[in-house]
Amino acid sequence: MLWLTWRQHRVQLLLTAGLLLALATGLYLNALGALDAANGQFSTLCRLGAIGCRQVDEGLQAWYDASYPYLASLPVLSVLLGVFWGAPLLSREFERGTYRLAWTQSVSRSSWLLGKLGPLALAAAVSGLAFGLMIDAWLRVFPGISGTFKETQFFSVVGVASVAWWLFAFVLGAAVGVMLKKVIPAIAVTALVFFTMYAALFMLRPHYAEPVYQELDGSNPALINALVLDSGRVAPDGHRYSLNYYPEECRQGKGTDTCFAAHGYRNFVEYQPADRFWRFQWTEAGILFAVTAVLGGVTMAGTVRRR
Amino acid sequence: MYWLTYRQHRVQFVVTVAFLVVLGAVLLASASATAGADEEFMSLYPYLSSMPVLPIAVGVFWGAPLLAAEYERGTSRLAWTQSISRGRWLASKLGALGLLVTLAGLGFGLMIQAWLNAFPAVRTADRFGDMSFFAMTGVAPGAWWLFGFMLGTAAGAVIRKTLPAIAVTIAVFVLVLIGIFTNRGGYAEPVVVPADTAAGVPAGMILRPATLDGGTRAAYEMQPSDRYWRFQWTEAGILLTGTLLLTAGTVVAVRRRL
Repeated sequence: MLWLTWRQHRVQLLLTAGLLLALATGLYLNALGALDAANGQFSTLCRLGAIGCRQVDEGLQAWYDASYPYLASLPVLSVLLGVFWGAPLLSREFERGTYRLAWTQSVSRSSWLLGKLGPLALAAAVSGLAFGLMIDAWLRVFPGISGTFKETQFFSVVGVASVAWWLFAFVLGAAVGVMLKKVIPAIAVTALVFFTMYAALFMLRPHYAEPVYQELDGSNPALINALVLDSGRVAPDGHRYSLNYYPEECRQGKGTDTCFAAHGYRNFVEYQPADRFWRFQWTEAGILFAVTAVLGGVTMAGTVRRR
Repeated sequence: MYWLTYRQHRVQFVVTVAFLVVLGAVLLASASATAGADEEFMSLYPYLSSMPVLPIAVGVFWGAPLLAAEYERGTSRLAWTQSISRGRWLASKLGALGLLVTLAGLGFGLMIQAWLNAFPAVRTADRFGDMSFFAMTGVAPGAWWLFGFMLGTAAGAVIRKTLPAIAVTIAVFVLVLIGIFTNRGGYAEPVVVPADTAAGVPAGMILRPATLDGGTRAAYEMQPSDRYWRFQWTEAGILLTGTLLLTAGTVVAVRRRL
């Protein structure tokens, strides 16, 4: 079975390996360029209120800003696994009628499926892991500028979440393929479900745990790598305002801060501390693994049950 | 032929129309929301700013299977041995579908423009300064969608297998997108505008920081906003040239061998 799986899917496997290799090379060269671009001229970037200021290397920041548009789309790269590995896996057998041949050999249908799903799922997980490690290594070149936690779009391309997303994409494609039995519709539905899932977890991610609420006068250095959900000023009656809201009694201008303090306004911040990173990673991976298990069951049932 | 084209491609057509209707409803609800303009704009921005890649879906689902599926199933032998010649079969398919795709792209662009118009006070709601919105307003989306469609069709005609054609369509489209997005600032000679701190950042497409008066005065190298339509037609011209070449490639590939 291993030989058959390799023969039937080697193009996808080799292309994925090639893509990862090219990406690793690109990221490595980009990181070298970034280290050259770092010019040691530090400037202070400040966000108002409790979050405070941080020091950034200007050259590094400019390099990061220039690279960002190309890397921002990486979280959805795993959809390709669903489209090219998963969706055709079974739907193509149905569409061409080759399932009649494949399932009437000495290998039972369930071991045929396991012989395919097992190695390919393993390859998907390993690819996701390699992908996550290379992105993580690249992001480490930009300390203080970028983050895997405070910038939630990078959260899903590192650590165990990356493995879970790649595995999920593959099994999703296979499950949709067994349900629809046609390649093109299976590809369309796989992409649609994947993007819906991505948008859902993207919105849900900051709420995996009860956020920490803090009122303070100065700034808190722990916030620099934290995931900030909300920040601003809180009135004495507990109502929250954004920092660019100015009430009747305190007009914008000189002495505004003193005025706000005199009227009992305090800066507040609601955030997830940076040390929750791994807890959040396992939460996201857990959600995806659970869905993946269900989809794997659907794939198995759909394969074994049909005539 | 129109009936055949409609019958064979109605699913793609209906799904596209449904997508545009849903998107229109979402944009309409967002534009008429009474909440703070900045928050409302930013809540949809992450999703909308990724939509310049939508023509990939057109290429993958309208274009790539158009000829590749016929070859793969062997149905091209039936389709091309009827009373209608291969050339006419291809012309009416490409003509009708290309027209629909272009209209869908232009309709998409009009909706995005109408949504942007609802946020006159939001600085980043800029159809020229923002990379993504430039490709999704004016005539550019029509050209992008048509290009995506013809790219998929040409890949299918040359490769003759659906899945590889889809893969090539995605790869080439992404490369073209990156190429055009990085070179758009060079469609015309940029102007250097002094960075006047009182006026803030000038409106337009900011390319890079520069200096004036022998390096003593900070400035921006930029493309002013009134070049919007010139740039739109430049981008559409580039894409339509590419589309024409792809069409020629498709015709040659179909004529050459059965």
